[in-house]
Amino acid sequence: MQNFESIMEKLKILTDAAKYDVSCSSSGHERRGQDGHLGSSAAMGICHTWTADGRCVSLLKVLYTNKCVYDCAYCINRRSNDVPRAAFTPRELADLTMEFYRRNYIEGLFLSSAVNGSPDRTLEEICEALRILRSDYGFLGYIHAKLIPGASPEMVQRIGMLADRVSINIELPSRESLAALAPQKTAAGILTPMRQITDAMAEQRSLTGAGNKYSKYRYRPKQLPDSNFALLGEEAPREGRYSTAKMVFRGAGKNLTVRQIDAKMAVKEDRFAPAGQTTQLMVGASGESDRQILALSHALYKNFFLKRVYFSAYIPLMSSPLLPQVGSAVPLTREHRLYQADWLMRFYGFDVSEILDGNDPNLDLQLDPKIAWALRHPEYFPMEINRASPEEILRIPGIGTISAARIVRQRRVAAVTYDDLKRMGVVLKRAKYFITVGGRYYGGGVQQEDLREHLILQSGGQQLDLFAQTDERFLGTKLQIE
Amino acid sequence: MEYLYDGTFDGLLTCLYEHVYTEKADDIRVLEENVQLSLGRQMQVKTDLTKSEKVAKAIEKKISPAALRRAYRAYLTAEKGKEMDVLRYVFLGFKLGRDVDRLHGSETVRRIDVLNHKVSWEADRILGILRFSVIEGPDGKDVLYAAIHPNCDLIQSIMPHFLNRFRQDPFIIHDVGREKAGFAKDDEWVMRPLPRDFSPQYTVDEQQYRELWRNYFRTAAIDQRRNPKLQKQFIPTRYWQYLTEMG
Repeated sequence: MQNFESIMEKLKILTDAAKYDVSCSSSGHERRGQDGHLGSSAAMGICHTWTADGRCVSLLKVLYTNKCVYDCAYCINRRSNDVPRAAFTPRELADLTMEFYRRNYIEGLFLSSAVNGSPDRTLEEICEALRILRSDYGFLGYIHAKLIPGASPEMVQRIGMLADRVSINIELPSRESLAALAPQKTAAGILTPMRQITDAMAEQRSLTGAGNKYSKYRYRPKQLPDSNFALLGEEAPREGRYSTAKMVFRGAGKNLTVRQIDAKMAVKEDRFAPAGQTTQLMVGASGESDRQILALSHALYKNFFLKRVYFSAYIPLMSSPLLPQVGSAVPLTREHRLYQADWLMRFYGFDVSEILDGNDPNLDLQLDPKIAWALRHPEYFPMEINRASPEEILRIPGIGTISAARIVRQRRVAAVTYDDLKRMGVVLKRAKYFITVGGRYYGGGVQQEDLREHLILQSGGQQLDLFAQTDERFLGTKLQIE
Repeated sequence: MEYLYDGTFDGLLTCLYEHVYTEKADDIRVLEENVQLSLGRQMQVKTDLTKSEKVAKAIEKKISPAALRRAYRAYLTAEKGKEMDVLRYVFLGFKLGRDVDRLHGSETVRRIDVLNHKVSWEADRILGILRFSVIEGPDGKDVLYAAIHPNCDLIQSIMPHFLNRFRQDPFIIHDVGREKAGFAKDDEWVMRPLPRDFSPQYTVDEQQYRELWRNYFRTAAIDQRRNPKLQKQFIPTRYWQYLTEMG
């Protein structure tokens, strides 16, 4: 490597500038490898390491450049902030991604950028880096590209055809705070490209047949180097029927080679942003209530079909009269509660109006929103485990999606007993106050009016643990609320 | 009767066969050299592929193909007593048929769930934390080499993932503890013994990319959110010695 020192310096500056973006997920799209190419994409997402703050690293998350013409009050890269500035070249970034990827350090690239000159001028260079990766290097790994508010429709289309996932950060959850804290951005500049992406994905699904603008672009496979791999030597001794490749491919019925599996699994692939669109909302920099934030995220899921809305607790690094004081506490607990509420909406069948149906416009910081809901609605409880519907079971505190599925599965062949629940992974110290098993209630000893205090104290014991898990449990790819 | 078998899955299935047709097994262990025979009654079970095939077929037919996979995955763990766990599960399954996997409240089934979870958790984790180094192949071309020391025996479970992904270079995944490695090139792979002390010749650039990665890893952590306990929960320290960024 000739320019090692300079790459090292750039990597440091541009990683430091990118790290406050919370999303690092590599999930949402399954793509098999191809001969002569490097890479594949796993729908479940893969985490490659965890940094000292416990956040998962899945993608190489860097800014293309941190040279910025904008002056958003909350941002460390704003024009008036005195920090070292740098920019990659498209080739440097593509090379670095390839070398990291083949060592299995990363699942792909998460590329974002400050606004150098104009949004389109910056995106033009990002496009070039992605083009080198995809067509010069045959890179099939995951790419998440962050668009810049104000991007032109042509640019959105080009980036969407190269990346797996695209996103635009809303950051400030209302027009008022946008105007106050990021005066150079407009709501239209953010929402217009988001709408375009949503529409393009819908259009792509509706077009069929050959030769439309989203039809699969095929890379011509490169000639494989014709080396003989002396290390391989002769055929390995089979250690028995199940010890070699055979078992692995049993699911396919036969002992298949990778190429045969490719042929079997060939499917039409979405070309435009196959892993969908996401966004991020900042929590705690401006005065919005949890109800406003959740209502906004609900609307985004519903109207823009977003895959995820991320919440990012604002870390006060910038001094400004409009923002929390530098060094004040980061609202991690609030962020955690918002993610829990988000989970309830996406996987547990809760509506946003149910999660905040009390008088308080903010979530209870002391209790999981699911417990808080259950305490506000004693009329539904206790539920009989052997009779309640799957949807009802999901509403019981202490029962997650996996244990709910287990209960329902076992009920078809045998009644569920109280001891069975423990083995199924139900958190009984919470659940027992909300259920009956075979008609019997096991939560005696705690009065109904003391229940709230009791449950808070109980989670207090593991409070640190719970909060410790805040980040990655909810930012990573494999997540559970219970 | 205590059974001693050779540690292969076919050997274990042969034990299940003998359990029915010879004498009931109270315990099943791997036969190790230089280990003193205990006082109890013991029997060395000789792996017989015809018998193991019969048992495998019976499991697929009487329970389900999924049950055979679950038994196999349980066998891949390094847990003590896994053999008897598999035995209990299989014979419960013979009684109940495919419904056995619905009985999540049963201790026997739960144990198999737990063992399966151990394998899939570790396999998933290793897909992410395996680190390849670029080494010089015999003909001067690049070869990727990764060393790992997993609890479960799972090289064969992770090879297809990398075979599908890395189509440009041949690669080797080395299970250091079990002294074997998967060798892959193009669309094929084989398992071969590879000694613990195998030390390859790294390419010139390798050290620099490692440093870039370490630098990235350190910079990406947010100080205000430091939480080493959480980090260790996700990535237990036993894996650290094979991680470039932890060095």
